[in-house]
Amino acid sequence: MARTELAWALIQLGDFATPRRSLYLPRYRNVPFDYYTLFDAADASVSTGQRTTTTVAPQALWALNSPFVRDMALALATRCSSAVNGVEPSDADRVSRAIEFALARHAEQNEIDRALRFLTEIRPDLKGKDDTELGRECLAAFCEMLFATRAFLYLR
Amino acid sequence: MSDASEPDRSRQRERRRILRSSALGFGWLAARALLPETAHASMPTARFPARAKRVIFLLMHGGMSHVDTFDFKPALARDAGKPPPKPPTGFSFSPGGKLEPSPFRFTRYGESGAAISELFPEVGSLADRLCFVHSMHTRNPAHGGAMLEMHTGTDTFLRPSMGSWILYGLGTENRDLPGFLTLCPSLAHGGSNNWSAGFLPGSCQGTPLGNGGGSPKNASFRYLTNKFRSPAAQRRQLDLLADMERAESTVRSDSPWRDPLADVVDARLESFELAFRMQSIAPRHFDLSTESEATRKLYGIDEFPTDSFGRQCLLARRFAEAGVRFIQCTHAYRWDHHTGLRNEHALSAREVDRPIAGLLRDLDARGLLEDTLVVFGSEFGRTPAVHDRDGRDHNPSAFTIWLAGAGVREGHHHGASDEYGCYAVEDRVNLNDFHATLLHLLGLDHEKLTFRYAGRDFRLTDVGGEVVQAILA
Repeated sequence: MARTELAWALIQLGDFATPRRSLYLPRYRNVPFDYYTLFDAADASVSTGQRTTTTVAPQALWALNSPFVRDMALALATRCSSAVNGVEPSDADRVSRAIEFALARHAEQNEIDRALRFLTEIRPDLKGKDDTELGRECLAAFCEMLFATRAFLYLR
Repeated sequence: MSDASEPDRSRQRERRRILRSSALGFGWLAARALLPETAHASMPTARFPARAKRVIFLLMHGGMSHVDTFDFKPALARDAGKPPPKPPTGFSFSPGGKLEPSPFRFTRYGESGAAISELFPEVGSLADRLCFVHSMHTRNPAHGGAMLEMHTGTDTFLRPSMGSWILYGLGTENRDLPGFLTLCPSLAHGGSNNWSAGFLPGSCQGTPLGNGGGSPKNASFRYLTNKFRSPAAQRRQLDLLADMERAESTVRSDSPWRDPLADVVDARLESFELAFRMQSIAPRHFDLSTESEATRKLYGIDEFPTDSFGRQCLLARRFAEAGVRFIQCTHAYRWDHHTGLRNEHALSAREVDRPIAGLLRDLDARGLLEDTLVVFGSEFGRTPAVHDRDGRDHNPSAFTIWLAGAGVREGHHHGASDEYGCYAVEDRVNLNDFHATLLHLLGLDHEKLTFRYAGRDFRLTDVGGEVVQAILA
């Protein structure tokens, strides 16, 4: 299957089926694809010299509540929690790996401290069927906000 | 030209100062509670007493035929089959053809004696409350361009929508809802450019609810609930986000350069706070079951074929009550009848006639028509001359809109198209004039409501526009 055909099929499914970030996505003129609409992609039927910058509450609702963001956050949390050479990572290891994977830089100590505080504080507010799952849920809640930061979203 | 963006800059500087010094930081900012709601155009030069506080814009997307609805042309019957007059501009979208009378019967309504076709009996019965402009004209004969002109004043560049300009000028009256909502908008023919804030602050952007392809039953904010995150948990998440962004800002404040993302980050954090509040408050705005049976009937809800647009209109009234500044209801692409006009125009009109009349009556009964401006229109009209088929083509050279409510002359007819409805000829009104008048009714001077961008001041009306004084009450 040609690459564009594959992308086309994924668009039809409304699911990119991979937890990787992508730099380029296909655009079909007559298909108003969900996320394009939410993020106000330009209409492909008229010429648009410059994309609009949009910052509206429904996008924040998407970041807070969409299954897609949750799935990606859980995927990142799982990835950060895997054992390395048979050693289970500590919470500090997990959050610093999350920051490294998401932002492609090392975590600073104060960032790790802040994240650990957050994991402790949010724990009573979240649910999980056992300790491991609750831990992963807390880490996912952290990852969701990591995805919402400017460092993740904007090019410097 | 005075610089309307100056108060905005000082407002943002002030906000940053508060953010830096506040122990609570971004997360508890609630900037709109600390600072004036109407900061943008609060300078006296741009504002004067407003007649209208908000706008409901009813857009008949696709090109409603003026000569079959609100612009009665008896000469079409007299001269049926003759060629149309030569275009004064030398341009015609669909040249040639033969003049074709309207298949619909016209009736005179009210004391004003407005001639309105049988397509709009309910709206017709309110003719004495309406203010018609029969001399509208635009430039672009294609839907996309004409829609962009209608919404932004230009089909050439990406520019802020009129709703965004109005929100920018007046601020919001409800801090728990976006100030510019667009119900079931069409995704094509300009799409999001029709509700974009362009270069204006992101918070002025229109927020779409549903889209033209779906039912307004599903027109809500999406992703409004999250069964895995309680409000308490999300509060912690937002505080974390604000903390992380503040830490980033602190790093950047050491730099000799201004944080280039400061405004974007401010707007983003505000949007998260708004989203958080909306989760608890927005659902009740969409709950039409709290409306009385009489009200639902008034709008034609749960009845064919009025249910869909009836829901849009009722939601519009609810948002108007809630203080939303600019509310648009789009009857998405239901009027483009190059063929099958006789049946299809009739059906489209039936879908909207009762809901619109219901909206006007309901607004009136609740005293909202006093300070709400209702605007009804299409991106262009249709050609009086046809090509041997039951349909009319696009006519940007003449079309009719009407206004109702705050500040407009009731039962008034402004301007005229020629005797066939081909070209606007008398007291011509273009979209710059229309936008200037809209802003005027809201108490905004269209020449002074400016925003500095790319090195110069921009206006909704570019360098054109004259307020149509004759339609003001």
